[in-house]
Amino acid sequence: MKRWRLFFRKIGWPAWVLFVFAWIFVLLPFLFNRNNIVEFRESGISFPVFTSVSSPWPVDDDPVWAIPALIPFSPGSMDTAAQGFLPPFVQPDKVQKPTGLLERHWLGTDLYGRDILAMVFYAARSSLSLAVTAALLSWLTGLLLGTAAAYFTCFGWQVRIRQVVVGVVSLFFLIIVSQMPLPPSERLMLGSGILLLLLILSVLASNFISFSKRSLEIGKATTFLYDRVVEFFAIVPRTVFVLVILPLFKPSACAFVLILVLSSWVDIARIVRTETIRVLSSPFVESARMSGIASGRMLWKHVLPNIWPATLVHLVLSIASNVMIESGIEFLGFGWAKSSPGLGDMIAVGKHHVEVWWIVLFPGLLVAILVYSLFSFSTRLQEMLYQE
Amino acid sequence: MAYYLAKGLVKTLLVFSLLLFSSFVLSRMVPGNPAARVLTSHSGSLNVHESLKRTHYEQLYRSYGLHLPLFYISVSSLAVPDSFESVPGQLFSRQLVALAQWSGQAEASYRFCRYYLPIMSEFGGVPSVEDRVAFVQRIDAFFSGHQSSNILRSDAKSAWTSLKKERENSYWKRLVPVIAVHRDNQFHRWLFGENTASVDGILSGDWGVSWISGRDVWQVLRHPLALTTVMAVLVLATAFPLALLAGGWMACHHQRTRVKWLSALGVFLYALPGFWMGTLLLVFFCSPAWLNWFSPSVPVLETNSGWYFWSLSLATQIGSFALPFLVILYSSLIYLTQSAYKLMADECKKNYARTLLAKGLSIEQVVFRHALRSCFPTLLVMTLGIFPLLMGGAVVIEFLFSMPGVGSLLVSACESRDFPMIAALLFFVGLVSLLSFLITAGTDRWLKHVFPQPLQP
Repeated sequence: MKRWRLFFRKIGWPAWVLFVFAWIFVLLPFLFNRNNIVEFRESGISFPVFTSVSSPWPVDDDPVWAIPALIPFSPGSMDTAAQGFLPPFVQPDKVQKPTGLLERHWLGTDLYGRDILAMVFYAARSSLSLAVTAALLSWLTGLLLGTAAAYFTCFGWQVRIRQVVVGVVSLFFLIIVSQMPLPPSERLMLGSGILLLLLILSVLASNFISFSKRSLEIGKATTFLYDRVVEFFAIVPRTVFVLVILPLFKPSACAFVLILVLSSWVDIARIVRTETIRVLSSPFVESARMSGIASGRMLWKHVLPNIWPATLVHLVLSIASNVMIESGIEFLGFGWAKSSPGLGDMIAVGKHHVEVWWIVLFPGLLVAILVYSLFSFSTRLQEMLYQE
Repeated sequence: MAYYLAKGLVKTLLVFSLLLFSSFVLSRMVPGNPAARVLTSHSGSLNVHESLKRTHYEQLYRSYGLHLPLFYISVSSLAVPDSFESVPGQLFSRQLVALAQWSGQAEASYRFCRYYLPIMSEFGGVPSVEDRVAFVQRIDAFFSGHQSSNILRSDAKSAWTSLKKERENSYWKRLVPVIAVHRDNQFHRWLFGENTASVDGILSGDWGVSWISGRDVWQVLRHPLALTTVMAVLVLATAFPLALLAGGWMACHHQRTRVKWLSALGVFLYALPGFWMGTLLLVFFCSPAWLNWFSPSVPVLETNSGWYFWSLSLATQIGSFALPFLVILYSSLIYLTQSAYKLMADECKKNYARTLLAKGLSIEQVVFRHALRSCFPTLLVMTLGIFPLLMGGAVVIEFLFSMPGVGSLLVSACESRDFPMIAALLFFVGLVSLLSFLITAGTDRWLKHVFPQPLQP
């Protein structure tokens, strides 16, 4: 608890803003919902808050007592009295008696009478969850590939000639076997038999042929190719890359995450590689190597703790950039299939209805607040981590 | 320097090849059959006879080179004249072997199967394992209806017998593996073209035709690409001097509260999504309910009468691009201003700057005469480095303002899944970015030579 308090004190307001947002997103069904949270009936208690449709109870069985959500609008619920872009806080003309403060549409409605406030928060939640997932996966990918590339850059990659020969010959025979007009079971048997034979031959060869024990250095070649791949990903602008790849997939959250990961792993891998090279060339790593530490253990124990700060800061920045890209792609009309419109979808409405400023202003403002908080959070986190 | 250039060229060529390869793979990864798609989009509403449709389909299929394999690398032995045993992962490999044995012409059999199978899969269904007998009958029917079938039939048996005899005589040849890279594949045709099909290939500038409009891809693409590039260059040319001035001014007053607030405001503005800013500007400047200063109408550029008239129409309608220009400009301006401010403020803390201040020079003189000179190379390289970001950012902004640039073209191509256009756009946007990277790297090298860094004590 004390550590968390210290963390919040050091990071300051961005941590608090993100903390509040996180809790709002967790409690969204209780804050914005057309259904009641709890309904007490003569026949029992129900929790309609967890159902997407209205209460499953018969109409004549009215609840004796109910706890409603704070704001009685779901993102998909259409208020027939407020259809046709109702401005913020305005009472609908069709409603005669004045409505309560919480029953009004604080940020107005869209064409179908859906509450903008509820839509904005639900859209931000789905956008942020997608962005966080993609950022974590790309962080993991970048961490693995960047560390491997840095390791090979610093220490090279020694491969025994025997291994190379066995690899090439096995590949060659496997290709031939895979193309033979045989049933799959026979193909499998033949392939595994050949592999086994080659393995036995290679072990025998290592004992009798001295040449096969020699090593080949392929570290430089590997890192050279890795660099070219990284350059390729760097030259194609991210928005263009996502847009171009997106039509190949069916619109879904998984596909979107995959594409975001594919487009963003390069940034983190570059940082990880630079930082790892810096750490690997330091004297304490050299002394650890002298003492005979295994490579994996060295990376885990000595390198990883020293590259945390840069990668963590970039992880936060990556979340911000994913939010921007995701809403931008939605704005272009290529969003992933979900029940309520996303932030970009809502802003895109403003392109065709230039008089409806509230449907443009509030979703964008929420994106801006989120992204600005994440930017500031990353800056302060960097200061904090480097101080430590 | 020559070594540096040669090394850079080799690296660039590799990235360029990767870009080409990915464009090709992307254009071939599209689900469904492109020829069937084009046929549906062109004659979907017309009541065309089925046989005519089929003929048209076969023509399209051949003209797109879809009868060829994607890549054709064969692994066989010396005893086998060609690679009919190496048809990758196809169900019909047995039939193919049977056909080749029967006809004695492996290459012809392979081509036949490659060409006819996808067509049959489109019209008659893919031959499954159970359908093998029927498939062989179809092959038989084809050969019996073929013009040279009599010659084939008479020669097949003798050819196959001689082949078999030769094989038996030279058994050792079976043990010698042969890996052959063949020209008859889609990738080769896409790159270098094919004389018989009057396709020039992309290396000769022939990017094919759009699947939707049927127009030449390069003809459609060149003007939007030029517009987006011109816009990005103009943005950089405007942002760089403005950022130097603003950053310099902030560095002169960097201890004042208003500069700190300005800096925080800059970060906040940088966090705003460009498309949101653009939509807000559209709402406030183009809506009759608000300022109504600009017209939301779409500028139309002359694209049919050559580059001169295109440039002329661009120059006359430059005012229509003011809002998108501002939206693309603001984020790069803020980024460069912040960078200039940070660099110059750090430079002012150095010993030589302190000495100059102690000698009586004003802070403005120190910043704009000395700190700016030190930071200039870094800032110039940073400015050139954001060029690819501008190209990417412009996509959304161009779509928003309906500008006839790469963005609108890319979005419409993605909506209609026009993959030749998408592949070409990916390639050219990547190429422009690659060139900008090269220019940035070259400039960096040159600037380090021109402005050598002073030795620090």
